[in-house]
Amino acid sequence: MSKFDFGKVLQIDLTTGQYSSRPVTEEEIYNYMGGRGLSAKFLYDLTSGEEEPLSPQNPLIFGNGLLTGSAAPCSGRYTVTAISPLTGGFGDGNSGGFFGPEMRYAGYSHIIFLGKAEKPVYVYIENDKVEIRDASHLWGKDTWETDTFIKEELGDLEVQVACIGQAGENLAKIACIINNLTRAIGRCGMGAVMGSKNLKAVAVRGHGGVDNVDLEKTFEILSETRKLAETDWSFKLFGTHGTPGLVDVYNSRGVVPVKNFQKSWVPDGEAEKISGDTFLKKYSKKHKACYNCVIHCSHFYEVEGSHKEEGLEFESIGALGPRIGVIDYPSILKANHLCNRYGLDTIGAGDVIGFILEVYEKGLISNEEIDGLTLNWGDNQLAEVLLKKMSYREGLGDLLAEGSYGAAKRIGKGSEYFSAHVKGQAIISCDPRGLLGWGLAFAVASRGADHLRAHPVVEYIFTPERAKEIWGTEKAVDRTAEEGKGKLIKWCEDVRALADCLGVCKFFTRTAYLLPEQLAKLITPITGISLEASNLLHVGERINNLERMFNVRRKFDRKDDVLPERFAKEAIPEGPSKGMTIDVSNMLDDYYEARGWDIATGKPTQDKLKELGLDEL
Amino acid sequence: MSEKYALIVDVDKCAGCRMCETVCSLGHEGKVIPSKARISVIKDEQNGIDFPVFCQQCEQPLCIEVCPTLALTKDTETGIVSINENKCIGCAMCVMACPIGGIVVTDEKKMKKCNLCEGKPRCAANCPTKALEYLQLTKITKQKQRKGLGRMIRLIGN
Repeated sequence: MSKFDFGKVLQIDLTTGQYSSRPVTEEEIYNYMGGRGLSAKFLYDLTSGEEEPLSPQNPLIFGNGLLTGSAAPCSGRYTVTAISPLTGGFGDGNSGGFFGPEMRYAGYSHIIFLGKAEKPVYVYIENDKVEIRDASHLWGKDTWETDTFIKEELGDLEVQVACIGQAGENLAKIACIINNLTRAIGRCGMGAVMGSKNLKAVAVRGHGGVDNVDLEKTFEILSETRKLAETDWSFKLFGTHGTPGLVDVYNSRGVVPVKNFQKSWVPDGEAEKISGDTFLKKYSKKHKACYNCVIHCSHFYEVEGSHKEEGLEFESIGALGPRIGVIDYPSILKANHLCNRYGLDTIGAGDVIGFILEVYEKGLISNEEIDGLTLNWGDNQLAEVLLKKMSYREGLGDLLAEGSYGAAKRIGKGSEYFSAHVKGQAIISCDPRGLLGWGLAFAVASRGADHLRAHPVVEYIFTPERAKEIWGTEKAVDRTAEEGKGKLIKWCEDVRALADCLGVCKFFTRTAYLLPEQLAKLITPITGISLEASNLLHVGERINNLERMFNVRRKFDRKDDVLPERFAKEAIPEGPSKGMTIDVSNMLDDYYEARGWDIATGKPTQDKLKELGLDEL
Repeated sequence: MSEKYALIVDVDKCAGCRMCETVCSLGHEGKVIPSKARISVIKDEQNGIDFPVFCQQCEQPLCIEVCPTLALTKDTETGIVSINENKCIGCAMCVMACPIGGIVVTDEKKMKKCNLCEGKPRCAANCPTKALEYLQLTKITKQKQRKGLGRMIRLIGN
C-alpha cells in the first residue's frame, strides 16, 4: 500500500509577512483526525486564555478535514476556527462548496493566520507559492465583487476565493466568511476575526491531488455508501426540496419561531407561503451541489426583477422570515442575498432584527435611538435597511452588529430576556421548548447555541427500541421527555465531531450513514489508516473535551450552559407544541455525568482528561 | 452492425458537484486530482451554469489531423480517439486544435484525454443527477425529443 499524504500546515504571520510550512503528522491524525479537531488543538496551543477575539493575538485557522477533497462522498467541507468575538470562547464555522478541496489540491490541510496586516491584504496561494497581496482596492467591496475582482486580477477563473464583505471589514460580530458566492463559514463571527486582521480574502489554486491507497475497495465502498445513504428519509427530501423542505417538518411539530419566539408555529394557510414546495415551484431553476455531493440539497433560484443565486437554507428562511414576522419569499430571498453579499450570518442577522423589534415593541429602546425608522413586525422592506446598517455599523446598525446578546448588554433595562442566545450566540430557528434534546444541545455546545455540534435529529428519527439499545431508555427519543437526553447528546456530539474532522457533510452522515463503524469503512480504503469504531468515538470525545477545556480556560463553567430564562417561564402559546417549556438543569446533570465531568462546575475531571490523553491541559 | 455509444450531458441536470472529475482522475490516475481529469465542469457561479466539458470523440478529429507524430488515433470499431503516450512528444498541438478543450495538458506537459474508460465511463456511472449518460447514439436523439416535447406539452398545458 502506498503512503497517504496528509497535506501540510502552512503558518502565515500577517504582521511580518513571513510564512512556513510542515507536514501534518500521523500522530496528529490519530489523535485529532483533522478539520475541526486538529484546528481545536492548534488554537489551544497557540493561545493562553487571555487573548481578545478581535486582537492580532487571535489566530485564524482554515482547516480541511482528513477526507476533504478526496473520493469520499460530500467531502467538500472546511472549518475556520478562532476565538469567537460573539462568545469570547471557542469559535468555528464550517462551509461547503469548493474552497476546501482546492486548498487541499494546493497541498494544505491547514492554514494558520497569525498577527495583523498593516493595511488590507489578500493571500494568494498556488501550490507552493504564497503571496500576500495588496487589497486596498478591494476594501469596501462586497463578497461577490471581491470574488470577481480577484479572479480577474489573477487571470484565473478557477481560483477558489474565501472572503469577507463589508460586515467583516467593519467587525460586525455576526459577520461570516463567504466562499463560492453563497457558501458561508457562518457562525461565531469568523468574518469579524478575518476583518480584524485586515485580511480581505484567501484565494487558493492547486494542481495536486489527494491520494487513494486502495482503489478497488474505494470504488466498492463508494457504491455501498451511496446505497446506504439513499435509505435515509432526508436523502430524498433534501435531494428535491433541500433544507427548505424542513419548514414543513419543523412547523408540523410547532417549533418554528415566530416574532422572536413569541410564538412557534406558522398557522396552516400562512405556512404554505414559505414552504419548501413553494420555493421549489416558484423560484428554483435547478439543483446545485457542493464538491462530490450525492445529495444536491442546494438550488439555483431566481426572483424575477430582483436577483438570482445559489442557495436557500431552512435556517435562513426561519431567521429572515417568521422570526421577524415576515411570511413572504421575495423578501426573505432578498435578505438572504444581501447577507451573502455583505457577509453576514443569516441566523445571527435575523436573530438581532427579531430582538430589536421586540425590544422596541416593549418600549426598551426609544424612538431617538432607531434612526427615524418604523420598526414593525412583518415589514417586508425592513431587513434590507437593517442589514445594510449593521454591515456598515451605521447608526442603529452599530448596535445590531453586536448580535442580540451584545446589543442587549448595551441597551440594558432587562432587554437580555428577549435575546435568544446561549453564550452570546443566537439560537437557530428551532424552538428548544418543543425539542428538549435540541435544547440541551444548544445549552452545552462549545461554540454557543448551536445545533450542529450534536445535530440530534435521531431524537425524532430513531425508534424507541433502538434508543433503548444505545442509550438505555426509550425516552431518549421522546422529544417531550428529559430522561436519557444527557447520554443522547453526549453520543451525538462525539459522533458529529467526526464529520467535522473528516470534512464530510453532516447531511450525508445525518442518520443512515451516521455510525462510526460506517465512517471507519470509508476512511480506511482512502487513507490506509485502520481505525476501530471505538477509536473514532474516542477521538470525537477527545475533541469535545479539548474544546470544553478551551472554554474552561476562558472562564466558562456550568452557569454558561443555560438557555434563556424566557424558555422556562413562557410556554409555547399555540400550535402542536402548545404548553411546552424547557429548563435544562436536570438534563445538564445527566449530561455532565455521561461526560464524566464535575456536576457542580461542568469541568472535565482529571480522570476523564487522563483517559483521553489530555491530562497536560 | 455494432451499436455505437456516446457520452452525453444534460446541462439542466448538472448540479456542478464535480464528481465526474473525481472518479475520472481516480480511475485513470489512481488518486483524486482534477487537474488531470479528462472531464472538467466549467462553472459560471453568478449565472448558475455548470457545464461538463470532455472529448466528444469527433468523427473528423482535428487533434489527429494536427498531431505531428501520429500519436493520436481513432478506433474504427468503437470510435474512441486515444493517445499513444510513447509517440506523444508533448507539443500540445492537439490542445490548441481542439475547438472545445477536450484535451488536457498537465503540469508535466503530458496530454490526457477521455477514452470513455474503454466503454464503461465512470463519470456517467457515478453522476448523482444522471446529467452525464452513456447512451446508444440512436437513443440520444429520441431522449432529446422526448425531453423537448415534455417541455412543449407543459407549455401547451399551461
